Amino acid sequence: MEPRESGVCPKCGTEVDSTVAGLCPACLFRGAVAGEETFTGPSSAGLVIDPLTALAGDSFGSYRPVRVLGHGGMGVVFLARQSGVLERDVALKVLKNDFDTRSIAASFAREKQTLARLHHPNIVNVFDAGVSAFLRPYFVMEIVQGLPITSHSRQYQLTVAERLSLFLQVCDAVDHAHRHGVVHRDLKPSNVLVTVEPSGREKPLARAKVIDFGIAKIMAGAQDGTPASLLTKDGKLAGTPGYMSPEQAGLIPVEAGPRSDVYSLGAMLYELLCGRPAFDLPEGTAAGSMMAILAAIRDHDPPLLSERAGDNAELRRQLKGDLETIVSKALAKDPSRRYESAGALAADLTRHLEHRPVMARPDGVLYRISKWRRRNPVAATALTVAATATVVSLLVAGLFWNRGAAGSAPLVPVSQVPFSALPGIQQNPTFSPDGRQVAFNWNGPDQQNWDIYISSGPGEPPRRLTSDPLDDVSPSWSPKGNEIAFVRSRPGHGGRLMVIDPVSGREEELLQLHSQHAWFTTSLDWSPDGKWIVVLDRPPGDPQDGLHLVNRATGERHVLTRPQKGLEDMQPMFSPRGQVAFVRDDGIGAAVYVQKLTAAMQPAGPPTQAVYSATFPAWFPNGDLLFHSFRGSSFRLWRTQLKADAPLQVLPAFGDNILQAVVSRDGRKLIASRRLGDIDLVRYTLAPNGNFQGPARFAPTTVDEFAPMVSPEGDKVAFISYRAGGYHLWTANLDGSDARRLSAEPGAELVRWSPDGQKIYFTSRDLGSSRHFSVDVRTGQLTREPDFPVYSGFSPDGKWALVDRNEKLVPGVYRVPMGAVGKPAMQKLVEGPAFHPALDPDGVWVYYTKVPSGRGELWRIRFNGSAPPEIALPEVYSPWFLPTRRRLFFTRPQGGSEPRLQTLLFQKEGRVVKVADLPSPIAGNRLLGGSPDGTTVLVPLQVKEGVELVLSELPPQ
Amino acid sequence: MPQGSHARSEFPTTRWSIVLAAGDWEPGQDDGAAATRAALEWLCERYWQPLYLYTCRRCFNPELGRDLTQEFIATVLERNWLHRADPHRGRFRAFLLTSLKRFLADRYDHDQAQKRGGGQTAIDLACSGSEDRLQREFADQTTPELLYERQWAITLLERVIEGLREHFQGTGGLAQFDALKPFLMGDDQDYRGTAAALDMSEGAVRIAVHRLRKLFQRRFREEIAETVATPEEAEEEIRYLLNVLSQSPAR
Repeated sequence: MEPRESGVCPKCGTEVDSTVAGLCPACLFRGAVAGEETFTGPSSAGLVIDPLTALAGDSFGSYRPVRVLGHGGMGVVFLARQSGVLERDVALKVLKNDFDTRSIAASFAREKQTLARLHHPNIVNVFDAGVSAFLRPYFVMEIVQGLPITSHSRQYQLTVAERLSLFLQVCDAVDHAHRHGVVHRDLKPSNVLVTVEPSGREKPLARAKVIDFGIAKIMAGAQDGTPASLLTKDGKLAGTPGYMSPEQAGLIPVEAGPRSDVYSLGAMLYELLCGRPAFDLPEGTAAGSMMAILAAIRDHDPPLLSERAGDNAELRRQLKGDLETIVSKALAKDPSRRYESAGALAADLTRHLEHRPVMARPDGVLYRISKWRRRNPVAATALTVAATATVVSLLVAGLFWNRGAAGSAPLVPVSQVPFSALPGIQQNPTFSPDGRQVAFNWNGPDQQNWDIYISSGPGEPPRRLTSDPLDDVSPSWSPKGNEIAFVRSRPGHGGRLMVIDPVSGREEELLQLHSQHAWFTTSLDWSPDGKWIVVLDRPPGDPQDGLHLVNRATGERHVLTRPQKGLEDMQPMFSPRGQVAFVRDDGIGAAVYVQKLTAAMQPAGPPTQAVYSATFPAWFPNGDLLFHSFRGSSFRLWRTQLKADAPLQVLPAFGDNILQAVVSRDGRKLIASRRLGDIDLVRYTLAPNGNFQGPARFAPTTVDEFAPMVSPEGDKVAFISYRAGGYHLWTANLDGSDARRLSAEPGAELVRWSPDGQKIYFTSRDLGSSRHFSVDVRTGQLTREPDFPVYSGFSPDGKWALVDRNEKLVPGVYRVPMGAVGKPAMQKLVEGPAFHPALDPDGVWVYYTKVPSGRGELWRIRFNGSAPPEIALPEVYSPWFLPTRRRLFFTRPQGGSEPRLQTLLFQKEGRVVKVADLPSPIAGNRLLGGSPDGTTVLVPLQVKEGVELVLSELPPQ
Repeated sequence: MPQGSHARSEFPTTRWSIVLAAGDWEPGQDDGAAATRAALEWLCERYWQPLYLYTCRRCFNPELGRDLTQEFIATVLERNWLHRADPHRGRFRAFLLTSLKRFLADRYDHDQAQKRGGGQTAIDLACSGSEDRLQREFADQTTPELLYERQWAITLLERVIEGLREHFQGTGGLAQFDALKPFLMGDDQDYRGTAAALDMSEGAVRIAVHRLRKLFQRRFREEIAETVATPEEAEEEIRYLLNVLSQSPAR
């Protein structure tokens, strides 16, 4: 079959002039990209393969697998023979997962060194670890023969004290590992084996041995580089949910860390003491019953130990009291309420054994209220602010366990405290050069007017620096400390670049600005030498906002960026070395760019892209870049070393809902703005009298819910909700009842119903990558969809789909036959720019706007393209409009108020009718939803909002 | 930046994306420049062969072709040719060919100028692009561009196969790899005979082939990825090169 060095390949018939290792290049290339349809896999060839045969042809260094010892969740354990000088039998654990990339293999190599250093009498020795020739990761361990700790205790009928003393060995092992920076992540009875040695007494000497330390982390990393989640890719439960902490299940926004192991220890202790698991949950449960499991992990406390002791009065007496309190503290839902370490748990158990008072306390009243509030959000909304504050402070005290990637300093805040804690919105913080004070803009105690304020510490009342009736925003403290630059503006009317003396309050106007920018995010910054200010502007004649440098002393101006049409530059930040990071938004996504400058303060070459899908750049003193991004299912701050060999590594830091942050000049403090908010859907329904009634709450949640999409039949709504932690796809009836989660991973967006209402298409975005899915509404079956196209709507007959996509940065509207893949099938309907295209339920008209947001005309064109576009309404507020069969819903700003406060109206037969003045601002870029007949409309409203500042101290860099 | 807006997809950092990202480093930041240079060197060294073939075909002179290729690579590494790379589009293969053409044209201009000034000429007229006469003499229908692209695909495969050979040399499975590698082209191979030759069961051979194929396909994609910056480009590149290879080399 092998072709000669030249000639015709007998396999494909092409002429071969040179071979690759004697093989035909064309055939080899096809083999490299061929899928399963070309190759018969061993299983489809009808072979039944035992685990040992499955290792055929592979090699594991000096270890030769001999026979199977056992199967575990993560792989198969073999008895293996080590050859060479040290000939001996070992346990060889071959993990199920492959390594997908070389980089993960490298991190595995680092991890294995850590594990090999973990010597403890109660931890199974890991002699070696490696990756086989076929890239299977494996561990070589001592052979342990013993029963899981629970079975052992049953078999030998251990007393409570004996069980506790065995358990203390486990705590000691876990504590030891934690102090070496290793978290187990999968502690459960089957990972704690007890070996017995003859003692000469009635009961043998028992030794607990913890296995599989750190392997869960490696397994998670091997999957796709993301942290372990409760669900595997095929929607099954990963791991053993009964022992998994809420943060590991992804239910609360805290990194899994040592306290996650404390939780698992608590679950194990519970079972060890009363003989029943704390949470009786089967492994590998299908996604259908997932809600029950999630709810249990998140909301339910297991029954008290003594209640599970059955008829045994003596056991009940022993378990009641201290042990219940200790177990309950270890099993706290909130990590900050658990024991801070396995050692602390052990210490309390020891105190109990020695009949001394334990440290754990039964839950206090406030805490019980907050737990109750989480389970009963409707009733709890009536509760006072005090209870809310409790919940917030619990989350603030979250844990950060992050050893970071090699070579980068971990960004682990020592503390994080509310800094401003004022009503309304405080943002754009800027440190004074000495880091002692922070200037920011605030819309004031009554949220009427933006001014600049200065505060000198957490909780200190802020000093008002400006009081102009125009909006004063985006302060930046000069490097010398003698001035603060800011923008004085009216949104949509340009502004003025101002400087103010922070002591005397003397103001000076430097420049007229012509940008139409709303100015509410960082718009300017000082150069490190304090001589120049970089500011956003659009001089007359320029089509777009660009970055401009202004000399503070002479007024000299340089153009730094002049983005082409369709791009928008914003949020400039000078690096300590005088580069400028900024955000460039192309209408689809934003990325952080870096612009280098020459000594003469002119742009040196074009800007280069530093990070995809990121905003709010800021700098650390060492030149690391800080940015804000939606990665890993929430908005967070990240850090990257631009200059390292692998320049785009990012590190998670801080909690959810952080918007923007800056670091003090000494690198020891970080101040960030954090969103406190709740977006909820409200419902307006047509009453028999012909008027709309509302707003009625759709669902009584305290988490964000938005993007309502009503099914073609008008009986169900698909929407995005944060109920399960992370933005997931949910469905419910139009009144909010019968809510069900449909997505397996957080990060769902771009939700569309199929024309027959049987499926929902959505996009799942995590860690910057997008994958497209459809989900069967009845069965919950998830199907991966091709990456193209992302549909925006369908004709009722299901034959055509509406697609909006950018062509050379200009968004346009297209129609494609369903099922078609690729560009050629696309028919352009509207010459761009056209935004937010929406097809009416009859599939006749496509409505769209020509502005991405704000006031503009509403246009429409026939979906079959048979006539030129026409104006449907002279003025709407983009993107909030919704065509239905009977009514065309749209919004307009209320009176002369802030544009986000809207009036909802509809047009019917040429007549415009008001539905209602919306009681609070319509939320962000969220869409309206409604039944196809136009009798119900769902609106996402910002029912609670605010942005406060939080201050963190950072460890020395 | 509205929440939930579309995101660009993220792609692992590849050597080509390092090169593209490092359009310009500050003069003081030697480490950044060094990383870029190392990435570029790695790429150029790996894909030397297609460059050489192209240059030879343009000049019809292997000796001169070798010198010019070396000179070109040195120029790419020393001067900042990267400014000429459009960071939004373009794969390494295309960038390199464009750069090489530009380099040869510059060299030609330069030599013409020298000639007018009475200096020595190093490059034959043939390299200028007007090589009709010589081309007829060589009577070869393959364009230099097709030759370059074909050799590119072959070099790519060679790098992958070489990498696998080294890998199995390290794990002691080289003989098995050499026996199994024809299976990388497709399933229509002699499983039974191979099993007998390797003293394995047929099932075991199927398993080993399955694993080897997965490894090969992964390494292949990694190799492609090094020369592009986005997943879309990787897919395009694969389609493009497959098309190039499927055409018979006209001789």
